[in-house]
Amino acid sequence: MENILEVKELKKTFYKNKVPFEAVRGVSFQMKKGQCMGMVGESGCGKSTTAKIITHLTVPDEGSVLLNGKEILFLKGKALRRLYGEVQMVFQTPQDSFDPRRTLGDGIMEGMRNRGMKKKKAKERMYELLDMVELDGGFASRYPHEVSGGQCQRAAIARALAPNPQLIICDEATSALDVTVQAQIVELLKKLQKEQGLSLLLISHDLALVQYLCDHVAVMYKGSVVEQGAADEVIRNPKETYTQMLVDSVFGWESHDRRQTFIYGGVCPAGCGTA
Amino acid sequence: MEEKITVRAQKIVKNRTKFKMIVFGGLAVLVILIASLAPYLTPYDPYEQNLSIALQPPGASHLLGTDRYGRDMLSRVIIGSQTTIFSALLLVTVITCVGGAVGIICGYYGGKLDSFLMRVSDIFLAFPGMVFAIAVASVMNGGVMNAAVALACISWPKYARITRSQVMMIKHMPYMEAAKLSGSGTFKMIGKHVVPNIAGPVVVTAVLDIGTMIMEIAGLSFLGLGAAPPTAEWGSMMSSGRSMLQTSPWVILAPGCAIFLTVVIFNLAGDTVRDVLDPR
Amino acid sequence: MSELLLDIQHVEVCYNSSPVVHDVSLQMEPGEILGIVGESGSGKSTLIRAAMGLLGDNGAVTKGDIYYKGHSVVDADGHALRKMRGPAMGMIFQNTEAALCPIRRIEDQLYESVSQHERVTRKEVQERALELFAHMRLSDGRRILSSYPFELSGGMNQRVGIMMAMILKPDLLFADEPTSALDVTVQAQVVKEMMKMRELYGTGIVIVTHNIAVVEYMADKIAVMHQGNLVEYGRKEEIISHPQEAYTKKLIGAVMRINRG
Repeated sequence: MENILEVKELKKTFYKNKVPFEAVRGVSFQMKKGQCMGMVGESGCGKSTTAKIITHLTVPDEGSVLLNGKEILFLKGKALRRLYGEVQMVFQTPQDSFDPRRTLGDGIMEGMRNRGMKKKKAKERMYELLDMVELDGGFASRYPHEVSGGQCQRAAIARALAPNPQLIICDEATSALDVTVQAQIVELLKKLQKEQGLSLLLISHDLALVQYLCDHVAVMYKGSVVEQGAADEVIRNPKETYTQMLVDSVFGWESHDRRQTFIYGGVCPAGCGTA
Repeated sequence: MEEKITVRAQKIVKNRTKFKMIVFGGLAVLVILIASLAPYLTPYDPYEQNLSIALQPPGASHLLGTDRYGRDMLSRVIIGSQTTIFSALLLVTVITCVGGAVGIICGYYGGKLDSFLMRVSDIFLAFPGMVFAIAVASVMNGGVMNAAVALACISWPKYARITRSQVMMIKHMPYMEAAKLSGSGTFKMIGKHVVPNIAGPVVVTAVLDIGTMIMEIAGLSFLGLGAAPPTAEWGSMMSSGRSMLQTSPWVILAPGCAIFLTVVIFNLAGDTVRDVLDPR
Repeated sequence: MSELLLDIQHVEVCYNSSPVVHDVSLQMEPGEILGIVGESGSGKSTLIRAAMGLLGDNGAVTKGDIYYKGHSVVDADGHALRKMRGPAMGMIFQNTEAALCPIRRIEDQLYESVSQHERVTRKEVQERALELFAHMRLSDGRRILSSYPFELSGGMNQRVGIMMAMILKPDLLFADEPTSALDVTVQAQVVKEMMKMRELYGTGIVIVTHNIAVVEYMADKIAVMHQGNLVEYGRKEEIISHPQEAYTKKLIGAVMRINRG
């Protein structure tokens, strides 16, 4: 199967008060078409910056990004707008990702109108999209602060789906949501990926989510990819020390047994109830 | 137990913003209405001189008395509101637009253009405001319009700075990035997303500034740099009455109180607008 | 039976005259860890704010009462509450950095808060702080004490929060989402350190979080809240393995777990 996305040697250094911070130092990975790929790591590891570089929200210092084999880093104007028909993004804080002064419907239609679609047709498509993310048509006229986080995130997914993109990047798309809502959004993403044949790049710190949803995973640490491979395999049998530590730190495994030895070195305090 | 509940319930404070909005907003609208309908509200011709009734104290026929040419003070205060209030409103609108545009350009694009425009505004801010306005107004030979231009020169940087910081604050919000991903160009971004989201604090500053501008225009007129004498304007009316402060105080009190009341009303209205738009 | 450490009896809490917590009753024995879980808007934070006397001007306990070792927290005045907070009830917030003064060193703020309750010298305070840091296996305690809050990482600030809460050796520690803003590796350490404090000082802990896995690991008893109501309350094993209520089942079922089988 061919690669939909190929990232080569990305580098980006931010300067804060002239102190350099290497957010991304030589990130490379490939993503197959129709695949769901996870990028995990802790805050500051550069996973969000990588996502922003792919979507042209941040300019990298070095490297290249190929979408379907074509370089996309230097696109401008019309070509860039065409790129946004292929790559879309869902953000972490759903309420902040919609303009507070405009309705959700306006937000979803904005891209279609910018691509020159007639108002009536855009409206039809919007209702179709709302239906796809299991939202009632009435949500089109609501403002972001009037709906819950989960509903808002569904609308954000609808907006991302609008141009029929090939690749959707989810930047911590479920982290700000309650667990029950998170579970619903995850199911929705899974369903959409299957139905639409989407490729999903899932940026997350949640290993359990990545294991559940993704085929492939890249583990990032301090701006580089330290380990990558089949998601299930990497999480079950981590090869690198950092990945091992990351996996060990997660609470709530299927089996609790090994947990105790990590945290307490075998000693459980009196009355902790799990001894 | 009952008592406990009432004591606890007293802690809960009621929200009065809506009531304040109606009262002060209503008063501000009333003042503007008076100003725009001024020619129809004056009991006498404000410019007609009648020396036989000069310097009459307030009484039944002339509610606020007459000045030294026998002109009715009430009529002059009413007609004077036009000059003062309209020039202040126009001035605030112009500086909000100019300062706002500069601020948006600086905040949105950043870089060298931003540095350049901000240094220019620094230069304007470096002059002592009123002194600079007096200098500009006297170079341009007085007149209400020129006084307004002088004040505009010293006031726009404030708006540029407020707008710029607001734009920088929302520039990296996810909804701005989402709009970019929707393929919106620069003009659409600014028109549809930036302006509506930064308007609140800028409008609040503008409304709060109306009072200040009324005072400053009146101040320049008082110094003879604003409205020329026959024109009724509160500042110049006070100036011409100041020699008679001890003998006929109504000549200076009438426009003085008018300035005081108008400024208080616009300031209170501005405070209320802030409570509504910017509840932090 | 020993005296109850915390006794929440049929409490209703109102914000701006509308109730956000309805008729909640919870009891805690000394040294117990109670986990309160629920989603946003479930009233879990409001409940422990009420128990700490921190509801602010717009909130009030309108029904029921909250007792700490037999003393009502609800009816205590400002002075009595200040005496209670610290030596009796410690607290850890979600974001310690925001709860600290940004322009003063940690040790100054620490000394100030300790000297409100005890006659101590700076040196004593410093030694006690270093001892606590040593228990958390932090060797560079001195550096942390002489830092400003913004110079420390989120995890480090959270450990400072634990240290500041524990330095007066309270019997009860309230922790409001103490690990929610942290990365997983740091979260594991902070959880471990809170457990260590209980082990060392027998402190009872109330931990409020939406992270069910953390509660599952830490708590002896779990209270599940939903829309201001207490849905289910009992020993951890029962709640996790045999939830009775539909909402609890849904909540626990929604937690995603790593499979390492």
